[in-house]
Amino acid sequence: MSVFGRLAGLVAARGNALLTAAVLVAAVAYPFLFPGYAINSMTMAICYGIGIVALKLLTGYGGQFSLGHSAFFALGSYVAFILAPTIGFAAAVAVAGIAAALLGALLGLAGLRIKGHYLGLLTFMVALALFQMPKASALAPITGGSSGLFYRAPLPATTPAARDVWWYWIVLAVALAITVGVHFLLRSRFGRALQASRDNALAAGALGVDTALVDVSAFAVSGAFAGIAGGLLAGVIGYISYDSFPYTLSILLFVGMTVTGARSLPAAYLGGALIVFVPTWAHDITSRLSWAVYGGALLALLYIQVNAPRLLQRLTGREATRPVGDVS
Amino acid sequence: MPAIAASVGRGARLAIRDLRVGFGGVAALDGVSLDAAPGEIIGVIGPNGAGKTTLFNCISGTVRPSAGTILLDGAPLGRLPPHRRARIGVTRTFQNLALLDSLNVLDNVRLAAEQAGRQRSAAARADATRLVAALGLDAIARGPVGGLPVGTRRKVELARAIAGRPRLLLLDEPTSGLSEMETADVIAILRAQHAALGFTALLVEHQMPVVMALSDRIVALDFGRKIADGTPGAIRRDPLVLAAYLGAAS
Amino acid sequence: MAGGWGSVVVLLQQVLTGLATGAVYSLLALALVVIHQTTHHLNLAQGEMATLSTLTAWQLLSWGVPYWAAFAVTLALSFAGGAAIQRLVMHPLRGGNALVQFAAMIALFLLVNSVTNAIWGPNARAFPSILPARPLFEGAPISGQRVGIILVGGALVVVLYLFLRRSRLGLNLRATAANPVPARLAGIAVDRMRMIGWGIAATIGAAAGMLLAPIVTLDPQMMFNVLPFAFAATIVGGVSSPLGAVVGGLVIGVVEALVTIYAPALGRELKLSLLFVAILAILLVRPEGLFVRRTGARL
Ligand SMILES: Nc1ncnc2c1ncn2[C@@H]1O[C@H](COP(=O)(O)OP(=O)(O)O)[C@@H](O)[C@H]1O
Ligand SMILES: [Mg+2]
Repeated sequence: MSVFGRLAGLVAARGNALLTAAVLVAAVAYPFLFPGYAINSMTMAICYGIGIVALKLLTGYGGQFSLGHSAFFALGSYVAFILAPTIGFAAAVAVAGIAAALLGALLGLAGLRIKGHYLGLLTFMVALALFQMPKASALAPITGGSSGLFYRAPLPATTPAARDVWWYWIVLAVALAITVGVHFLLRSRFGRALQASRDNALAAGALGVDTALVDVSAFAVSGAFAGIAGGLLAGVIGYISYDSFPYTLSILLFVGMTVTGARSLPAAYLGGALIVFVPTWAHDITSRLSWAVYGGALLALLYIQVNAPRLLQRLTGREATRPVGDVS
Repeated sequence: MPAIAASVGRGARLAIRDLRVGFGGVAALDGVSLDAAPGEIIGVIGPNGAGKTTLFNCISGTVRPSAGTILLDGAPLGRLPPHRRARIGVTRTFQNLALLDSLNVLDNVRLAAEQAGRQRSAAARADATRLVAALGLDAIARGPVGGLPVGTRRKVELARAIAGRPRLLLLDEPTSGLSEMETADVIAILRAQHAALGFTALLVEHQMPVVMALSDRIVALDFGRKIADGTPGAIRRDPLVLAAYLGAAS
Repeated sequence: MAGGWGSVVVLLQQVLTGLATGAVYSLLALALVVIHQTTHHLNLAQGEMATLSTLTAWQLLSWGVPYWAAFAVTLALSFAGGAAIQRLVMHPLRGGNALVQFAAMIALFLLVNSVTNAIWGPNARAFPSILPARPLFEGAPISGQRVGIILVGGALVVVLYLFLRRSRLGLNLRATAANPVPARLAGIAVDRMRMIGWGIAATIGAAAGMLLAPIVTLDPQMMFNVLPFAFAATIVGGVSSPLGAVVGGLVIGVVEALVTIYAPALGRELKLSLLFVAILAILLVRPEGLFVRRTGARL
């Protein structure tokens, strides 16, 4: 690499660090800069961002498709609200993480057997199936049936506005911890093993990677983070019911992951913002077809993502080459 | 090159008895037996489709034989999964190259060091760095493995297999697709590493000069059967081996 | 013993009811398998496309088109629609990885669901059945409706099965999915095969939807409660086995009917959850499905 190349790399790295620092400062200062403005939506966006970070760990780096992450949110929220009155909110969210990790491990076991789109569909069906569960009459005494559960977490603030700011900081702190944690996890022995397992499971196994253990663990860890995010989000809202985290959330999380780059962690929070704000915009355009607008926009985005190199080539007038053996 | 006395004892003793593998009617291995003393390098030759890669797959645990046993230092490998075999020192390279594209060159090697060797992270990293340097890969250590030329990719595979602290090293066509110079390089690397580590090795190779240069003994396979087993000199003159190769060539 | 006889009748009734629903699961599962065999995609929007087809049929009927004419026109429209979706949506994205293709099918799911909602609204509609809903004869253990489903569904399954296994086009479709490059070299028009594959799958989905509509609620969410069972059928049967999908669908239909009558406390919500415990168990014990021969991966 040339001296200039190295220099450019260094500047880029520094630039990234600077940008990250700037965004962090802005995030912490946000409630002071824009007091009261959309703070609740920001808090929710960060919660969904945590879910997308969890999904990036599992799918972007681990190669396992999940269209079931709303189930972790839902499980996390119910566990948190059921336990919070007796053991306190913080402990309840921790237990929610553990419960979601167990569900994740279960799906991970399924993931050992089926891959790719099938796993995506299976997890989606799980999200569809579990979504109904809290309504079951047998569970209603615990889950509140179709009327749901309320819980008001004790915070050192009394006015609704001050509570909103507290929630924002709590969620921000947890998000930061989880994102940094995943960042280092990916650079650990486990992270290398996870990516090896995704790239080539047979080769990884021959190199000593226990791919089954690694894949199941990744699902459990990802589930735990999504469950924690669900527990937190429930606390923020103060109320949950069976349709607080519908299967559509799974879709939004997956799309949020795809469009912000499956292997870029900080961008996950952009994805979280998309989840909170885009449906509102789409709704403003046309209320009856808002999901169609969303789907159409997604297709357009995917088309650009896939064909950008070819389109650019055509614009610059050079021959476009097509691979002989496309795999679609 | 014959095993150096000082290194004997670090390689594993391999004994394969009557190994059989079938793929839907095709007998890929049809009762193969084979022995390797600790530190020995055994060349495995035979025309395409003879069953050489299948033999490796059985030893590293990715293919389950229908019959037969594989003993490592007298202990049967049985149904031990591939990663456990790697961790007791059975490492390999792949004929079709199986580098991990998400990881850079150093991390490919480091992964093997920390998994198969089960060592502390820092020690594994140091090992990997040393090996990458020893194989002349340090200039590209932090780069992606994706765009590398075949010669370099084969070397990364080699570094990775050696980083796993092999007691039995399986080399599946390590010089296939390489230039003469690169081939000489690989031979030199294998000699040096073998002298230092004393592993036992099976070497599948189509280039006879390479097999001759490295092997203590040569085993020839054809249609899943062992048709010859002896010193390089004897194998070179073996009528069955000549027939198998001429038959495959015609 | 009267009581004993009565319980046998109940059992028989439930098995037959289950077979009827199972026939629909089989059809949908078959649609999933066909798409997988011809494109190696698993179409997330399969259920939504089937709903769109069924509502189209309902529209035709409400305009006074006779039943079988509406049935046939819907099948034809569905074939064209499926092929068009492949050509206009999936084909331009063929260069993308599995993630992109999956996201595309998510987008399709949302688009189709939203369009059906926009056109027909969320209300439930009545859809006529092939045979009248009353029992075939006095005291028969099954309604005519369900007999019709079993007959038509069964016939479709047989036709499809023979088509895939025996016809030249079916062979080409399967060759395309198994490995597109050699298929192309062998002179198979791979791109056309993919369009046909999607077309066929959409057609099967349409048939399943029209058979199903009279016994469930026809609204834009119709398939949400059906697709999980159809998907479960493909897991039970093995994702690459048409015969497995059919048998899997029937088994699940019957089991579901029996659970409904013998363990009513579960309710629909827990029944779905149990279904996934069962799927998980099957995956762990026999991951390749109950009807697929084991094969090894190649290194
Ligand atoms: N996974 C597999 N499935 C089916 N046939 C296989 C598989 N692996 C190897 N074979 C067959 O087994 C025989 C031996 O193959 P292989 O061991 O790769 O030979 P070699 O490495 O000596 O060229 C060949 O006929 C090959 O086609
Ligand atoms: Mg080979």
